[in-house]
Formats: sequence, C-alpha cells, structure tokens
Amino acid sequence: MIRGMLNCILATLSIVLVVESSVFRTNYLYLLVVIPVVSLILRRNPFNFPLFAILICISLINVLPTQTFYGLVNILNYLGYKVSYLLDLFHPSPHHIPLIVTLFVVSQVIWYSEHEITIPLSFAFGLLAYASYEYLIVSLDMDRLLLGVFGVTALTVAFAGVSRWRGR
Amino acid sequence: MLVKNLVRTTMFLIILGLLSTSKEIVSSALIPLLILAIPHFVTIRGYNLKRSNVEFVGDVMNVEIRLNLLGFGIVNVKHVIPDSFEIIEGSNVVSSFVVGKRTVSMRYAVRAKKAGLYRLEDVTIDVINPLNTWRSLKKVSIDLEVEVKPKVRKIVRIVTERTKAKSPIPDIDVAKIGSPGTDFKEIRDYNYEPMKFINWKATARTGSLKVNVYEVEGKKTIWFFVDVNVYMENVLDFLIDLTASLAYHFAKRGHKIGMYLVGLRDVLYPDVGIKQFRRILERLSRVECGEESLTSAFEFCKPYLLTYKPYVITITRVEYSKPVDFRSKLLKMGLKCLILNIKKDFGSDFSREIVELVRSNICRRVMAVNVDADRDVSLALARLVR
Repeated sequence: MIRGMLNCILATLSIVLVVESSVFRTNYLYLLVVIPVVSLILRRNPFNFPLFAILICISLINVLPTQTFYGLVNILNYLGYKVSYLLDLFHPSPHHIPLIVTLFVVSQVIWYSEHEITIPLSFAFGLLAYASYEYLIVSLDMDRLLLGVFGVTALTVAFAGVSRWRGR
Repeated sequence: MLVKNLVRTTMFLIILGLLSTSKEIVSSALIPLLILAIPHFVTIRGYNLKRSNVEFVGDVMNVEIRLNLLGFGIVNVKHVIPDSFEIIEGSNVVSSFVVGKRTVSMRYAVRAKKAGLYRLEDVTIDVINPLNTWRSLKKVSIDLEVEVKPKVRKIVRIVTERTKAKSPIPDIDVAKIGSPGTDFKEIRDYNYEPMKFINWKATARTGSLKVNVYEVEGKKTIWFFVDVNVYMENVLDFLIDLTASLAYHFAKRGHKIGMYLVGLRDVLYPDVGIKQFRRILERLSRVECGEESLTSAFEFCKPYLLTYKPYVITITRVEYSKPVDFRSKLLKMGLKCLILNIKKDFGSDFSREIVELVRSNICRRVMAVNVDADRDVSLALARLVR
C-alpha cells in the first residue's frame, strides 16, 4: 500500500509538471490525477506505463518545433495547404521531460523493490530530483546526461551507505 | 519485470524522439539505461563451515557458516536443510549488503526429526542489484553427509500387565536349525548325518542305521515384517523406533533376527548379535516408502520362513494392509506370529469412528495388538515384551 501511495504522489507531481509547462491552457488535464487515484484504489501501480506515455505525448508539444517540423510545414506550404499558422501555434518552450522520465523510473524501482531500504531512498531521490531540477537545469544549465549519471551514482552511494549503516 | 519496463521505456522514448527528431526526448532515454547500468558482482573468497555431530533422532546439530565475500550488491545467503530437520535456533537464511570486503556469517541449530541418510545441500548466494534490476545466483558446494540413526528405547518391563497376543513370547523357544548342542532329543533314521551321531547300539538292535538327534543350540529366530508402504508414511518415525527397539531387545537376548521391509522388497538374512542389530538400524535409517502387499511379501520370504521356522513379528496398520490371508498362510506353515497394529487417528470424529470400526474388526480377526503411535515407544514396548 505504501508503494502505491508513494507512486501516486510521484504520478501527481508528474501531471502537475506537464500541465504547468504546457504551451496551451490545459487546466482540464488535471483530471488525469484520477488515473493514479483509481489505480491506487484498485491496488495497481498508480504510475503505470500508459499514464507515462500520455504525459510524454502531451509534453511533446513543447519540443515539437524542430528542424523536421519546420521542414514539414514548409513542404505543406509549398504544396498549397497553407499551414504556416502552425509555426505561430507551436514554438519551443521549457519542458520537464527528463524529470518526468526520472520520476517514472523511480516509481518503477519503488514498485518492484524487494528491500525495504530501496523504497524510502528511491522516493527521496525522486523528490530531490523534483526539487532541484529547476535550479540545476535552468539556473546552472547543467548537461542533462552528466546530471543523470551524477544522480544515479548518488542514489547508489546513498543506498550502499544506508545499507552498511543498518548492517552494523 | 523492472528490467522489462525500463527497456520498454527506453525504446518508447527513442522511437518517439526519432519520429519527432527531438534531441531532448532521445537524451531522456538514457535515464532508464543509467539505472540498468548500475553493476552488481560478488566473488566468494573462501568459506568456513563448522558443525557438531548428530547421531540419533532428536539430537541437535549446531551449524556455523562463514563466507568471505568481495563485491557490490545485496546478497541473500541460504542453506537449504532437509525437511527432516527442524530449526530450533538461529536462521538458515541471512541477507546482507556487500560493499567491498565483507564476512557474512550464519549460525543455526537444527534438531533431527527423522532417521535417515541426509546430504546437506550447497549454500546458495543470491546476488541482487541494489535497485533490484539484475540478479545472479552463486553456489558454494558443500559435500557433507549426515546419518541419523533411530533412537533405540529402553524397554521397561511391566510384569503384571498381560499381553493381548495369543502367541507365547519367544524368549523360551529354541531354534529349529543351527549347531547341535549336548541335550539329547531323539533317535532317528540315518539321513546323511555326520558319522559321530550314529547310535551303534540302536543300529545293531534294529538292523538299520540310527542316529542320535540333539537339541539345536541357540534361541528361536525372530523374523520382522516391517510394513513401509506409502500408508505408513505418517507413522514412519514411530515404526522405525519400535522396530529398532524390538530388534535391540531380541538381539541382546541372543535371538537370530531377520527382517523384510514390505514395500521395498528388501530382505536382511537372519543373523545373531549386535552386529546384526546395527545392520537392521542402518537399513531402517535409510528406509523410504514403497508399495507391496503382505501376501506378496510372504511369498518372497517363504524359503527363509521354511528354513528358519521363525517367530514372525509383523508391524503394520491393519486397516490398510488387511493381513487376514497373510496370517492364515503363516499359521498353515506352522509359524507363530504376532501382528502389531500401529494406531494413529486422523481426520474428523466421524471418519475416525469408521476407521476404528474397520480396524477393530480386522484386529479381532488377526489377533493384532494395538500400539498407540501417540504414546512413547517405551510405553508401547512395555506392553509387548515381558
């Protein structure tokens, strides 16, 4: 039950992140919170893969205006479809995709953990990532891959340290 | 399952990233891969096993295993013990987190519940990644055999209590075959006996060769039919204890003892002394359940029964073996027999009553003696042997 509740929190945080960073006014997407709550009641994983896929697809709007997208719009314009309004509609905006992926991965680790230490540590790691993401990515502009390696290493070291301490 | 989900997440992000040509999404696909990249490895640098000896059923064996491990990961060390051992102290499973060098020790005490020859299995080490992504299994092979012998009970003699068996106790019976003694028995016609036994006076008087026959030395042979069919499984410990104790009793009194394990077609030829008792003990300690009828066992042992003319003790559960034919065949052969019925009740009151009805009917027909498996073997024996 505790795993479900923690995963429900992580899922809700992810939904909030997606809705807050959306380019359009999509406050009705808060209704997605129903999915983890219902899953929790049904004793299933609240942060399941379909919910994750929905969140990523919604976040895709923020990163959609790529060179391919511009090229596609130009081709359609050339063919006479008059879709240049799409260039005004979609424009690059800040997104939280790496953080959503991290929270999902953490939720998976929590859900399938066999050792009681893994659950609080992973959840703490997820919360820490959520809290520090804005500062590390936006303010310090750190490299995302480097940040990922640093994060996973920190989680492993924390896990080893706590286990060793408990083992004494 | 976790690995499958993480791989699925990675694949989803890569495909989505490629379709949308988004560098952010493709780079996010590395996050699950980083989790999968956390290593785990443990090498066993040596082990030490100490254990105390266990000889009889009920003895306690202390086991201590120390493993020197090197590596990184969660280790679950498990030493599987046979079902016939009961853990009374400590645990045969230990879990630990290994970072670098670590000595994992396991200490437990077990009590042997059943006789037999057991092999202590290998120590298994389950190495799990801290985030539960990967796991591997290692084994430390331990080549250790433990032989647990049945406990032989001391027989308490109760003179005042009568036995229900009609057959006399074979303590005073003599053997039918064996070395001739000095007690004269009778004069008989010559039938290729040694020359020294020829009675020359009787030969001269009658005109045909006559020999003196002397009483054979030694006591009567005891033949055990020990029923180890599958229906005896629940009372096997009691059966082994009872047989061993009876065998010891008769071996000490100088009887020849033979044994046949009904269900295993295993025969032990009659012999005398404590050595024979040890042989019986060894066979009993390795006994397993099989399938055979008492009549078939009788047919198999017929040559031995005809040769030794023994006193037959059959230990069984009459409600299953129904030894009516078996007993009548023994009686036809002129053999005295005692059937011991091991009584143990299972199930509901109603089923117990039905079984009791069947049992008492058969017991009356074969004059079997009931031995209660829930009582101590010594007490049960006290009723049997005077």
